[in-house]
Amino acid sequence: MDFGLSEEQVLLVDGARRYVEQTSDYEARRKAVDSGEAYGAARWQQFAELGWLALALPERHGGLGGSAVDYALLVEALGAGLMLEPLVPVAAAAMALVTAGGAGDLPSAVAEGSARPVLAHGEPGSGGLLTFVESRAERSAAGWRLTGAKSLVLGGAAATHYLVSARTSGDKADDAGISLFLVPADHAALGRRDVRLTDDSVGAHLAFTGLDLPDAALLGPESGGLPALREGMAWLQLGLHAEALGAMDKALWTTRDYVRTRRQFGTELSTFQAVQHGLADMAMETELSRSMLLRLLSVFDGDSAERDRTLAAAKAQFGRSGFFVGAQAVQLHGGIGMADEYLIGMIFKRLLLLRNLHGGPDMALGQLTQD
Amino acid sequence: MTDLSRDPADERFRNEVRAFLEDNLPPEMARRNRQGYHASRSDTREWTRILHARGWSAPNWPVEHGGTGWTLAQQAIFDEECTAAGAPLLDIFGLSMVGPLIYTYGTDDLKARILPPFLRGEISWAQGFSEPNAGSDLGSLQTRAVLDGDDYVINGRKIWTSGAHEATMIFFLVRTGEGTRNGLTMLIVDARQPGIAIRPIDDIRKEHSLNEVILDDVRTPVANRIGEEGRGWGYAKALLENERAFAAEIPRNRNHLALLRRIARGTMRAGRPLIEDPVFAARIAEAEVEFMALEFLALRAMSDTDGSGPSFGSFLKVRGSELVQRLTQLQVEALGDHGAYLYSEQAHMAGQPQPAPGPEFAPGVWSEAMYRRASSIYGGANEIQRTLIAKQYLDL
Repeated sequence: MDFGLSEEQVLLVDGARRYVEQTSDYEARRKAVDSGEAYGAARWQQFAELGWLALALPERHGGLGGSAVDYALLVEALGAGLMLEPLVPVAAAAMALVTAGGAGDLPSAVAEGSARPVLAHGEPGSGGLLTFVESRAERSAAGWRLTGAKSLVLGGAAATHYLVSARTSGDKADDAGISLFLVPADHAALGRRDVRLTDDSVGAHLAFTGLDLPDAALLGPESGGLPALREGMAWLQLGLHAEALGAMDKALWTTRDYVRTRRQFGTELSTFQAVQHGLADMAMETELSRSMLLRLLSVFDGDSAERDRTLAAAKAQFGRSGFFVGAQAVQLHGGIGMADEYLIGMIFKRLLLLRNLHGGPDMALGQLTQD
Repeated sequence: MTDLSRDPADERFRNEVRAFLEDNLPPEMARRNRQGYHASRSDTREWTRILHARGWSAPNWPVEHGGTGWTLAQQAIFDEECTAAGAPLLDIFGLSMVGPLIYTYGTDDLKARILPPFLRGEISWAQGFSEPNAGSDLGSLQTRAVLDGDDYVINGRKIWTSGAHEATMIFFLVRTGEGTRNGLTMLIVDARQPGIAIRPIDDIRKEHSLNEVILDDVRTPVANRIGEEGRGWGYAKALLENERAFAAEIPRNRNHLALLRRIARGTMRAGRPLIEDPVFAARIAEAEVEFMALEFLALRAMSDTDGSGPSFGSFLKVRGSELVQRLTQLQVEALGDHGAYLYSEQAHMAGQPQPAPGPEFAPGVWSEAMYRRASSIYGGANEIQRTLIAKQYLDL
């Protein structure tokens, strides 16, 4: 194995880091949040111009054909900036679209920045179980009729399309019977509530009460949507972990810098061994998480039992480590760590939200005990 | 270029090692060592002889000093396969500590006298660093060596000296001057000589592995000094850092994870196999997650052959030792009532009936869990390692 970066990867990472340094003013982020913006449209266009939205998409879909490693490196670098833009949810949906097929030139539109599809898969009762889908689609005269609800749709308020999983046969947790439907965000009959999330991003909660869709809304085989869904959710988790890693790393070094300058009892906090050891624990959790992400990347290409297992392990690792690092950063900062306007609190809130997504770490541990 | 795929040559090497173990590891030796009990010196020496015949008795040494010249990845594979097969541990005091010091800093005479017989399994080493008033703090050592003609004369007391009672040679860190950086010297001493009194200390398992070593006018020739007088502290530091990627004890942890599963499958709790208990299964899964991350951290450390990346030695030491403690503790817990029975190492080694009933995997589990409490103490206690991380990685 070689963990070194290629020249192209170094350029990619440097570019993303520079972008974050120059544009991720946390005060500006707070203003954007206060103004109710779901994402920065101008920033999104910059992402497109920089090629980031095309990075992992195959060339035949207007993408750059980059690897999962390239993608994770980019997202990690952007994660330090706590971006509000739904780059990860959109990239995941695009990979699901590519796997499912049938979405025309929608992936190319993603690469260009004009379309922002996101996965609408999780439901209030699914708790992270991939195959748990209670929403149903039934044949109708016009095509399909959709009934059900989707919760915590990441990037949902900024989306142009939802890639919705719904059951066309089988029972609520069966492997077979899941189909994928493409629903335009401006569909007149869509019950959509944009919801401010605890980390200041904006998601959506969707309700379908007999939503009519044309035949062409079905992507991929009827009742055979699981492989595309699995691919999309794998990319979503990979991206969220990479984002979490960037945020953890930022929390670690910000805290290190803080304890070097903050003085109490007549000396820098960094001279206290209890503080040093607290930071050492943060460093270990961060580097173990980075190692787990690399392990995931080493098995990421192609659907396999090994990938599923490593996804579950990564979910458990990042859930535990992310929360630890975030909470420890707040603790070592003291009072300022509790302030709404300060970076460290923002990171902690983000890491806590990510920890509890998709059933949280306990769900992942449960999956690991299944064999 | 980032390349996270496994090297096919490494897999061929793994098969070669496996075939060698099948043909050459005596089954009775494997039986003795597969349990939690530790290899006797006689098993270690016999195994060293067997490996030496193949040129493999120093897996981590360069070829010019009689080693294999293997890559770190190959060494890791060798360790993994040996551990899984039940091969006795090799003499790590010799292989990882004093041996590399001798070939790096020793005179040609010292190399010629010591290294070849060690590689043939004719020398057993013990390490004499700790003293009653100097544990992790080597600067407080008081055992003193004074030059007298061509000999050093040593007086003092060493303690917690593992295996001194079975050792033929001991490498001591002793005081030859004042201060830490320039006041300590590394000396090799014949363990079987007048003036050396070795007093056994029953360890926490009620076994004899630890000793107190009393030195009363012990003589050793100047030719047995490693490197220069007064540079011993630097050498000691170098050897502790030498462990690097191996500090996580990946093969041992992998084996302990497998044993934990075996115990949990073979033990009934409340009418069903323990492994079907969702709470206990989740605790096993948690430990496995830790192992999966740690294994890749060790791979990262190993792949950094030019030392350009951060040093992860202390990370691996802390988390590797904490994991082995967690796994062995879970094993004892998984044994249920049998976890409270005191089994006998002597009976196990001799292939005789145990003084307590229980499944075949029970003897040795508690003993190893107790022994592993030392993992977070030796080689620089974990508190020292955390401070090192703060200083080296975080630059505090």
